[in-house]
Amino acid sequence: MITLAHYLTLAALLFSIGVVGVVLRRNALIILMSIELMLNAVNLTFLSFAYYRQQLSGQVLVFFVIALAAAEATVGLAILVAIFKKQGTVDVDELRFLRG
Amino acid sequence: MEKLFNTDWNLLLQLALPMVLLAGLGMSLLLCSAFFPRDRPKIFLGVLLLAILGILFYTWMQWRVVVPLSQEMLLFDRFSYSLDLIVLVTLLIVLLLCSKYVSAEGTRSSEVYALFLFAVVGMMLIHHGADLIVIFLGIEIMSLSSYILTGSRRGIIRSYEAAMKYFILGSFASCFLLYGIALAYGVTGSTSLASLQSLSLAADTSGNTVLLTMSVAFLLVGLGFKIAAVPFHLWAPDVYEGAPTPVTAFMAAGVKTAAFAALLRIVLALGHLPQIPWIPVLWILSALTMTIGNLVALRQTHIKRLLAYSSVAHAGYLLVGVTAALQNNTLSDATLGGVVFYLFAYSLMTLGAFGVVVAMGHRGEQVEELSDFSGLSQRHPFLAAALTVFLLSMAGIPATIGFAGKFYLFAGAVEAGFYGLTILAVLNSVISVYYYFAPIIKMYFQPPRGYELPPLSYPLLAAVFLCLFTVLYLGIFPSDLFLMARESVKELIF
Repeated sequence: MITLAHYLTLAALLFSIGVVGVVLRRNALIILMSIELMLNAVNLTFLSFAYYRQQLSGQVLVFFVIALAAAEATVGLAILVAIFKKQGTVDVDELRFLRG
Repeated sequence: MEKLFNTDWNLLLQLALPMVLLAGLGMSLLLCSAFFPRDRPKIFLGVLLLAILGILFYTWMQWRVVVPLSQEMLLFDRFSYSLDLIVLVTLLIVLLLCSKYVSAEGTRSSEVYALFLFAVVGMMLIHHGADLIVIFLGIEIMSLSSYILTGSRRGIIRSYEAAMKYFILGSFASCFLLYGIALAYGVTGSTSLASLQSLSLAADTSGNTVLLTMSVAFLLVGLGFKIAAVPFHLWAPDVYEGAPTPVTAFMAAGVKTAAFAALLRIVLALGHLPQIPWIPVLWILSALTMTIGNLVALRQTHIKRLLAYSSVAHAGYLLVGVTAALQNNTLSDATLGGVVFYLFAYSLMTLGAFGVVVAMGHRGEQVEELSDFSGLSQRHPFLAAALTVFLLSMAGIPATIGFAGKFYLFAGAVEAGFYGLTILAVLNSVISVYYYFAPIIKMYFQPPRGYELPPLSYPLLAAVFLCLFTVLYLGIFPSDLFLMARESVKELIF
């Protein structure tokens, strides 16, 4: 029997994997993917709560988040392309022109 | 469907007109740049300034007549309109500041202006959001515009680096915020602030308390990033340094105001829950933020980094006010009014200080080292005097708006019984005097260095003068503004 707790745990795990990815990986593309993973973990949480409560509003919120994830990816990739054109790499450790 | 037709659309349009107008202006600017190949920064600037003045006046009229109204997703009360006024003034000054920068850096002015407008629409959505998801979308609209603006210095890697860092950390924080919202949805079955406010977990056995505590923790982490509270402040100095200076001013003043608006609404909506240790958490957050912000600022030799750490410290002072406002669960209007007053004061003096930094820049080069300010009193007495006033105001010297702001803020904290926190805040202000005086000493007691300053453009001069006048005038006669701030928070709705 798959219960709400299972879905929530899965979402929490996905979220944690995303967090670890952002913190540990140095390639900006992988970091972007990890952020997408975190957003999708949140979507899963919304969906499982909505299903558990038999409500539609939670499912509608997911559409907002999907649209937002697309907008975020657009901006992120644009910044990445600008950096790649200038530097030839997307490694965030190579970016250390600002002090600190 | 029934609900949709019950909405009074005319009233809604009337109340939300500032947002609608700003969004419309932004989109028509983008269309202009698509249909007319020639960029006309001066015409755009003129039209925008007039439009914003009109919107400012309209918002002020709304502030005067508004009857608090909450409509499913948006709410309209004096608190939200007063914050709208702050960000509109910020927008006005920032547009004046960036007039020189858009012509020098080869960026199309219409795009930059449109992004500023969209960011302000996002901020207004935050102020008027009656639902966590609206607040979140507002934060995202604001943040996405700021990411692009941060990276808008064409071909300059430092600007791109700042944009990248801001983007990664900003979206990371947004994910935390969103996860917090999802968990809150799990507890209440709704994301509206009203349902959070009427929530009670008196006899709870279903683990909802655990969920809600986690949700609040995630929300606080996400919002902590946005207001740059320690320990989530690490992006701020780098981003402030790399971004074009007018954009830095915009982020330091406007983005922080809006993020504080979100924090205040959420914290006040959930503040009544005894299961969550609000006071200790906010106490520690504010003590850490002001102390570390000030101590690290002592070592900075770069004016934008110095101002960045000082803005972290100011977030700490504001958190003192938030803590005090929460302690008086009856929503003491003097304490909350102090927070609103300080937000306005902080925005003005920060805009002014960054405005002087913009004015020092020359032919696309930005002048940012403290040593570049040597002897400014002889090279350009007006700029030197203006920067001195802004820095004194940030340090909280009497007869400036910064002093009045700190006075109201700390008075509220004392009233709520936070003696320890107030003493810490005052000690911090004393420490901050040391680093605020460093540029002043350089300007007045060291021989001039560097090139002759070119004559300042009129918009820049107007912006700096406007900030200078307001900082001094409201520093000497603060009571009217404080009364207005108190009025704003009297009838807070959720």
